[in-house]
Amino acid sequence: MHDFEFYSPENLGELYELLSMKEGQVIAGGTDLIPAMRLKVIQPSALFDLGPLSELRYIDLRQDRISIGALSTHTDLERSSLLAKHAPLLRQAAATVGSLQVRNRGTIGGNIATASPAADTVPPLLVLEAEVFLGSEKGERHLPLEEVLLEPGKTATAADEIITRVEFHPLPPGIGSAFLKLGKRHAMAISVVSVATVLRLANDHVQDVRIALGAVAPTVIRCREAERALLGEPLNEQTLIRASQAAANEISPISDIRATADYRCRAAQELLRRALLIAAQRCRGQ
Amino acid sequence: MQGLKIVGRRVPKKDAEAKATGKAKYVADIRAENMKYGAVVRSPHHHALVTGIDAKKATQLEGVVAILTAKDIPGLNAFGVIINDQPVLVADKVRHQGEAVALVIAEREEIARRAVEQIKVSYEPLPAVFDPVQALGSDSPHLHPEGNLLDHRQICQGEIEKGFAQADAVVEETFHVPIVDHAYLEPETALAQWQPDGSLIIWASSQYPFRDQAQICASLALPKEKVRVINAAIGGAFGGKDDVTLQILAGLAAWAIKGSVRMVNSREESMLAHSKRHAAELRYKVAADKKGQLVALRAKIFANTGAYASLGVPVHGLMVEMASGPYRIPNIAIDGYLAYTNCPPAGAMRGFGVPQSNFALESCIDMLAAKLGCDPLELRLKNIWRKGDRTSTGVLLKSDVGMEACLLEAKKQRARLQEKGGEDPKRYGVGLAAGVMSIGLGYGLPDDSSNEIEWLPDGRALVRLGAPDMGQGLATVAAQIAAEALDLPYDRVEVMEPDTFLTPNGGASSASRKTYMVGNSLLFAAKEAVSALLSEASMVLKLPPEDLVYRKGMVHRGDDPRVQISSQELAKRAAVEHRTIKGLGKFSFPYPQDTPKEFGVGMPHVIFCYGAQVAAVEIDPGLGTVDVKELVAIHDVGRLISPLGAEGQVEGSVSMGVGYALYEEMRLKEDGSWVEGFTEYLLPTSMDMPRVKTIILEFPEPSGPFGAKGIGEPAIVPTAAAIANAIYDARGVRITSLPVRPEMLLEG
Amino acid sequence: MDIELTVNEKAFEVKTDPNTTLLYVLREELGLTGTKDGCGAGECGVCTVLMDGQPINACLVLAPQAHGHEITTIEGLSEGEELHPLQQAFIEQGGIQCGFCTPGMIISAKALLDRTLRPTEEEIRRAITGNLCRCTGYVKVVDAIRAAAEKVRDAGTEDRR
Repeated sequence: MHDFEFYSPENLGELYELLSMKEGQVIAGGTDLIPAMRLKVIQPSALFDLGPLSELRYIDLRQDRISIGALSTHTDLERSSLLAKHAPLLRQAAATVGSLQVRNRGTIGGNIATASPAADTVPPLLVLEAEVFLGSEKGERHLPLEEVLLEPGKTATAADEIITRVEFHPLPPGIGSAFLKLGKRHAMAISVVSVATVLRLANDHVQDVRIALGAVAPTVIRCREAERALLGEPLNEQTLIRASQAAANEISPISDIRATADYRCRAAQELLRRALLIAAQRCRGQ
Repeated sequence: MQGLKIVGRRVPKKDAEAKATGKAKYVADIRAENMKYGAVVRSPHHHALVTGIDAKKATQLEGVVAILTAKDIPGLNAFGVIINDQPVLVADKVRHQGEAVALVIAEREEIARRAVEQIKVSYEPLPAVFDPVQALGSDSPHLHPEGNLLDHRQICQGEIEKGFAQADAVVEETFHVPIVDHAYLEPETALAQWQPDGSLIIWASSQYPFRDQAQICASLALPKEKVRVINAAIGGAFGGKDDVTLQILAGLAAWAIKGSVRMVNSREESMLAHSKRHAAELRYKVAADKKGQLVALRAKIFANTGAYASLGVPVHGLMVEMASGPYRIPNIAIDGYLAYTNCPPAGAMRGFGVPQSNFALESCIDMLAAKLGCDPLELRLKNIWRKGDRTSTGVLLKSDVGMEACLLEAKKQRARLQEKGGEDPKRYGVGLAAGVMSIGLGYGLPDDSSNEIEWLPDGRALVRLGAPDMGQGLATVAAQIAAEALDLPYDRVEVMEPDTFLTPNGGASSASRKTYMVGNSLLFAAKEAVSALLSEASMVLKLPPEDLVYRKGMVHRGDDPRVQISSQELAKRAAVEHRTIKGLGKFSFPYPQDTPKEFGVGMPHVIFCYGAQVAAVEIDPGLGTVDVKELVAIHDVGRLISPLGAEGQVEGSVSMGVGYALYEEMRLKEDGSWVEGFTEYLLPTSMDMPRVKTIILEFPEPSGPFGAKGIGEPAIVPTAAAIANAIYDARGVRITSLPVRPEMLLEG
Repeated sequence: MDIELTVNEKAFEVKTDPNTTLLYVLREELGLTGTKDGCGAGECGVCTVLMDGQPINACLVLAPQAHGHEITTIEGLSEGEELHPLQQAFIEQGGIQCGFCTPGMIISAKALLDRTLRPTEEEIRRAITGNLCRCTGYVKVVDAIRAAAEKVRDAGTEDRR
C-alpha cells in the first residue's frame, strides 16, 4: 500500500475540522477501501478513521423515524430487532452482504458512500425513502438517498462532508415488503440483480408501491414507471407483466463477467415479480 | 483384509494437531535471520518483445538491495517439468500476462513491491492468440519458433467408418471446457538462505523438491550438494505446485545477495503466473447399435496448453488415452492436438486431462441413451470394461474392474434421489456419470519412489518420507503402512517430510499414485529396517540373526522370548557410535511385459481407478440458476488404507468438480486482462456445496500395498458430467460448455 | 506510529506504519503466524481472527484501526497442551487437509459456538461462508463444528466454548 497519513479524530468536531483543512478520505469498515488501496485503484494522501466515533453507531426509533448511525455495521442491522420489526427488508439485505467477517466491519454509511450499483442495503433504503444526513464543519444537511447516488463510485457528498446517519419512517402495519438478491453463488456474492419493494394493498388493489432495482443501472434506481403501472391496479398476472416491462424500460444493465445485459434484464423482471408477490402475501398477513 | 490393525482405521492425520493449533510452519511462516523480500516484475502483455528494462529509479529507492534480470542468471535461464522452455526471467519475449521479467530484492516486501512499479520495461506488443483451434490456424501468431503445435496423438482401434456404418444411433456434439485455477489457499512461496560455504537452503511449497533441486542447480550452475530443498507444510497443491513456482527465483535472489530472501505471490500473481487446468474443445461423435452396444467413437480434441509446455504433453496424452472412458468400443479414432497459446501455462491439475474428456464422453453417452430410448445407466453397464478386456490402448485388464459395482451402487442411489424429488416450481433432476482414471506416470517414464524407515532412540520408528504431503494425507498413509508392516502402534511411527539432504527421493506427489508408490516402497523399507535391526541385535546379543525374531519393536531369541532387546535400546547404542539403524525401500512402478509400446513416452497406463457419481440438481426456471442438492460419489480405491483421508479426497475432488461445473473460469475480461483474485474467480463456498455422500468400494489391486490403488484425482473426473446430465434430466437442456451459466437455462 | 492492542489476552505495543494491516502486525511483528494470508482482499477468510469477540478479516483492518482492540487468534484457543474442543473435533473428524484455511475456519466456528451451542447445519454453513476451503468440500468441516458443539454442550463446559 502507498504511504498516507492516518488520523483518528476523537469526536465529530475534530473530524469536521480535519475534513475542512486537509484533503483525504474517510475510512469506516474499510472492506471496500482497503482492497482498492491494495490494488492501487485509489491512493488517498490521508485517511480519517471513523472507527473511534462510536456516537455514529446506533439504530434508534426517534420521533416516529428510524435513525441508523452511519457506523452501524451490517451485522448490527442484521441483528437489530427494531429493524426486524420496522424494516425487515433492510435487515434481510444486510444479511446478504459478503461474509460475516465483512458484515462485522462494513457499515451502512460505507455501503452508501461507495455508491456501488450493486450495494445491497441501498435498494431497501430507496424504497424506505431514506434521507441521508450529511455533516460537515458548516453544519448538517440532508438529501433523499436517491439524490445522493450520482454514478458508480460517486455521491453528492462534498469533500468536507461525511454521511452521519440515514433516517426513514418505519413501515406501518399492513405494508408488505421484500428484498431479493441474485448472485453468482449462494454467499459471498456481488449482486447480479437485486430488488426491494414495499407494497400496500387495499381491497387487493395496489394503494402504494415502491420499487428499487440494484446492479442494473449506473446506480441503484427507483423504478417509478413500474410503480405507476401498478398503482390503483389489482396485482395480477397482467399488471405484474406490465410492471416488469416498465421496469425493463427503466433499467440499463451492462454485460460483464457476472452476467450478460440481456440476462440481467430478464432476471430483474423475474425477481421484481417474485418480490411483488412476496410483498403482497405479507400484506395479506400470510 | 483380515488381521490388519492400523491399515483401514480412521486414524487422525499426522499433521492435524500442528495445523489445528496454528503451529504448522508454511514457508511464509518461516523467518530467516536478516531476511530480505523478493518481488517480481510481471508482464502486463500477453505477447510482446522486451526491448529494454530501465531500473534506475527503482535502484535508488531506499531499501532496495538488488534488481536482477535475465543476464544475472549464472546458469540455464529456463525450466520446465519435461522441456526446459520456460524462462526464469524473460530475456526477449513474454508469452503470457504475468510472466516474470525482473526480480527485486528489498529490505521489506512493501519496498520490493514499490520498486517493481518503478521499473520501466519497454515492450513491443505482438498479436496474441488464446484459442487452441485458432492457434493451429495458418494465420496465427507463433509463440515458439517451432510453431504452436506441442503434441499430436492418435489412438485408433478397428475401422472407424465401418463402425459408424453399423450404427443405429449416432450423436455428435462439440464441447468446451474452460481454463481453471487450482486456487490452493496458500499462494506460491519460497524462502532461500545462502550459507557461508556457498550453498543454499530453500524451503519450498512443492510437490517434488528433488526436481526443484535439479532445476535450481541448473539455473544457478551449482552442484547438487550445494542446494538443499526442504519441504515446509504445503497449503494445497492439486498439481499446481508440481512445476517450480518461486523456488528458482528465491534461490537466485539469495545467491545474488549472499543472504536470505523470502518470496510470496499475491493472489493476483498466483492466478496469472502459474500452471492451470487445460481448456479444450472436444468434438465427439459416438454411435451404438439398437441393442445398445457402442460401436464407434470419434473424438477430435484441441487442448490449450498456454504459453509453455509444463506438463501439457502428458496431460494431453491422458486426455486422449481416457477419451473413450471405461468402455469397450470396437472402433475408435481419437485425434488430439495440443496447442501453445498466450494463456497462462497449463499443466498438472487434479484429474490431469481426464475431467475434460470425461465431460464430453459422459454427456454423449447420456445423449445416446436418449436417442436409443434406453436407460443411460443400463447403456453404460452394457459397455463397460470387465476384467480381461483390453483398453483403447490395448492394455489387458488383469485386476478386478470395480466399474460395474460402482454403477450398480449408483443405480440404487439414483433411485433414492429420484424418489426424493424437488420443490415446485423448481425443476428437479438426477443424473449420473461414470469415470475412470489411471494411476502412475505412464509407460516409459521413470517412476520410482524411495523412502526410508529409521529406528529412533526414543523407541519410535521414523519414516523419512521422500515425497511431499501437500494436505492429501500421504504422511498419514505412510505412517499407517509403516506401522502395520512393523506391527507398531500408529503413534510410534513419526514422519519426516521431504528434505533433499535428509530423505531419499520419493518421487513427485502426483498421478494419484503416492499411496501405491510410497506404500510399496515402505513395505520394502520395513523389511530392510527389520533386518537391519536383527543384525544389530545379533551383535549385541551375540546370537546369529537367524535365531532372532522381530515382534512389535522388539527383537527376541526365537526359542526363548525372554532373551530380548528393544529397538529403542539398539538405536540408543547405535546413536552413541553416531550410527543409525534403518532400512531403505525403493519401488518402481511396474509395467507388465505385454504393455503396448507404440504410444511413445508416458503412455499407456496400466492401473485404473473406477468411479461413478450421481448428482441431484434443482433449477430455478425463472432465473436459470442451478443448485446441486446432493452428490453421491462411489469409488473403487483398491484397498482402503485411511478412511478419513480417502473420504476427504473424494469430498474435496467433488467440490472442485462442482466448481468446474458451475462457477470457475479463467476468463478474459472486456479490458483484455484475466479475471482477478477471488472476487472475480469464484470458488464454491460452504453454502454452495451440497452434502457429499461418499461410498468407497474395495477391489484390491494385487500389486498395491495391501491392495491399495489411489483416490487423489479419480473423484473429480465424473462430477461435471454427472451435474450436466442431471441438468438435462431436470430441464432438457444439454450443457455443452462449462461452467454452466444461468443464461443457458432460462425458460421462456 | 505506535499502536496498543491486546492479543490473546496479552497487551502489546507495536511500532508500525499506518499502511500495514492487522494481519501484518500479527504475523510479522508479533510472530503469530497461525493466522494466514491468502488473498489480501477479504475473500478467502484464512486471516480470520476475533476482534472484540467478532470474526473479521485481519487483512481488511489497517494496523492503526486495531488500536485499543482485543484480538483473539488461533494461538489463543488452546490452553497449554489442552486443545480447544473445536481443534480436537477438527482433528478427529478429518476437517483438516492442507490446513491453510483451518485457523481461520476454527476462529469462525468459535464465533458461532459463542453465540449458540445448538447450531443447525444451515447456521454452521452460514457461519463459515467467509472461509473458503479448497480441500474438504466443507463436509468434514461442518461435521467437526457440529461435533464440537455437541461435545461442549454435553460436557456442560459452556465457559470453555
